[in-house]
Amino acid sequence: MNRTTSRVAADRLAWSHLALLPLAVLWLLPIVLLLNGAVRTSTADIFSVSPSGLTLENLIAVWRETDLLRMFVNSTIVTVASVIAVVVLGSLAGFGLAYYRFRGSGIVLLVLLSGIMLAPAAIIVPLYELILDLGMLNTYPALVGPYTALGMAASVLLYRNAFLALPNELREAASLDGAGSFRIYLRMYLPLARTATVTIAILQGLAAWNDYILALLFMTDGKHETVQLAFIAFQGQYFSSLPKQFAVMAIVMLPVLIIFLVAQRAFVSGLSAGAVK
Amino acid sequence: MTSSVGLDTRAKERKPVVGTPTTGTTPARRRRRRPSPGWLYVAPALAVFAVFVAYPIVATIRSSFYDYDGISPIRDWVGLDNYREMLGGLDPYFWKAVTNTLLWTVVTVPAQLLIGLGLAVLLDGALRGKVVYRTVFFMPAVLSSAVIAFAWGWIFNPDEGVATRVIRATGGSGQAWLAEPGTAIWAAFGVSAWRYSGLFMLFYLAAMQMIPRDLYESARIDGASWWQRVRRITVPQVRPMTVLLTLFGVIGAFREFEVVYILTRGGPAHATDLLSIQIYDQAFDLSRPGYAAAIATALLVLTAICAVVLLRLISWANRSVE
Repeated sequence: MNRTTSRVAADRLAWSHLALLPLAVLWLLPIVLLLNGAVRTSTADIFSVSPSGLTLENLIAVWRETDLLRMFVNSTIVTVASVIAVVVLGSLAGFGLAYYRFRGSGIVLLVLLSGIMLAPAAIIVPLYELILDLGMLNTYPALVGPYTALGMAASVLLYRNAFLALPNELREAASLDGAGSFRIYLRMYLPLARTATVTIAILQGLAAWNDYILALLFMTDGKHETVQLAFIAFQGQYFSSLPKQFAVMAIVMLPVLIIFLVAQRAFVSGLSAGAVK
Repeated sequence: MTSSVGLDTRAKERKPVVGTPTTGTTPARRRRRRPSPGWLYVAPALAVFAVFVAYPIVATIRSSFYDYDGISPIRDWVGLDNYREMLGGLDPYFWKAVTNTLLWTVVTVPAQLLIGLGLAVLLDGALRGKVVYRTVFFMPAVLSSAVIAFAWGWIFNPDEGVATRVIRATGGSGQAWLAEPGTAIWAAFGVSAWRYSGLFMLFYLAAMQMIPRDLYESARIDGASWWQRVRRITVPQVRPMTVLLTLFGVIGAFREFEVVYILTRGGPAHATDLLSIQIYDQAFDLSRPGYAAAIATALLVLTAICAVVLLRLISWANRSVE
């Protein structure tokens, strides 16, 4: 493809930049705005674009003065736990559906598919009552359970499709060796479905880490709050200091942003692979 | 740079096994009488799903026939009263929320499709800085609602927001974007388009990887312009992805809640009320979980109808492409 050598194509590319650049600036604006406000000293120059007077003071002060570290630990625990649960349970179920053909498997798929469409708000009332009745308010399982269940449908479907795409000779060869089905799942299928695992881990990790509403409802004791609740938690404390409010939100945003930028390729290929399936 | 995506999608293309029955079913057949060992693998996932999703769905519908305050243990069976109140015009905000939810769907889904497709078309090919652009446009999709609502809240801030300042600087008068019923929902639409268009772009780029390049080459030889190639080749070739993304978008629109809730709480004057926000308000602020459950049931029904219609559309589109 010698696209770039053609003059018409080169013109086209110039036009592309003309359209893409302003959009890219617009796309970055809210993120830059947030970071900029976090490194300013006074409320008055939150939106200042002057390169002087930048300081990391707010970020350090906010980190020292608040429980953000505890919130990060909480977020990490519920996110890691639900990612592991969704990968393990989802791959087991996907394996069961792909490896065996049994009555009711179609219904299982249909039920799970309905879970993908479900708006969490539609079940929030009984979910709250359930967590309350089980005495699970302000415990990690209160979030890990619903996160896992809400992410399960996508996980099972993606694993099932990944396993179905594996060649049949594989399982026949394994069966001839006398390997039991669980060993075939663990040693053969699961490692071969690594793309699906990456996709599912990214989807579930983002969903669990970024959730706001369930955490808001279920974590209220001042100890188990996740980072997404940081603004509510410290809004009062920093009522008079906008730069510190910005700093709190910048600290909430930065880890995800950094992980995304570092693992950008994994995100893109993982999610694209998920989409095309 | 996108080679891994391309290879992967091409491999899938070669073997469209999705939905085809498994071969080699001998173990299951031999043990027909006993439950299949498949159930053993499926059971743990189903158990979690049953407790935290399936049971709450059933409980939502059940609760919608009761009146209770969520604090005292008394639950009064009221039959269809909640539905009568909801549908019978006693609650004008319900219909406002239905309208807004549908408006949200018909505005944001096409916007995300168009922007996503446009970005993908511009980025498809050997463009300098392609990875940078792709990263920038996709970035909002990984950020949380809390972060997004905070940042956009300061863009739309009526006194000193960035958008307000820009308008003042160009000679216009200040605009209270989120504080005015007329503009608030459009501001929220904008945030939604900003957040998800990059995701749509990513999926479109993956779909474009699968278009055979010689289609473009021969069209070029025939003298087709760039725009003609986009319209006659790219757009029809990615149609299955458009249908899939439409489904995604509609599901996303019905799920929408957090950003709008944090930005406006459904206000001003219910101008940005969505069904999901009303469920939350009725259940947790107004202590009417039974009535909230009736609204939730309406949301379930609405989602189900849209899902069935769209799934029909998908299978129709897939058939017509083949």
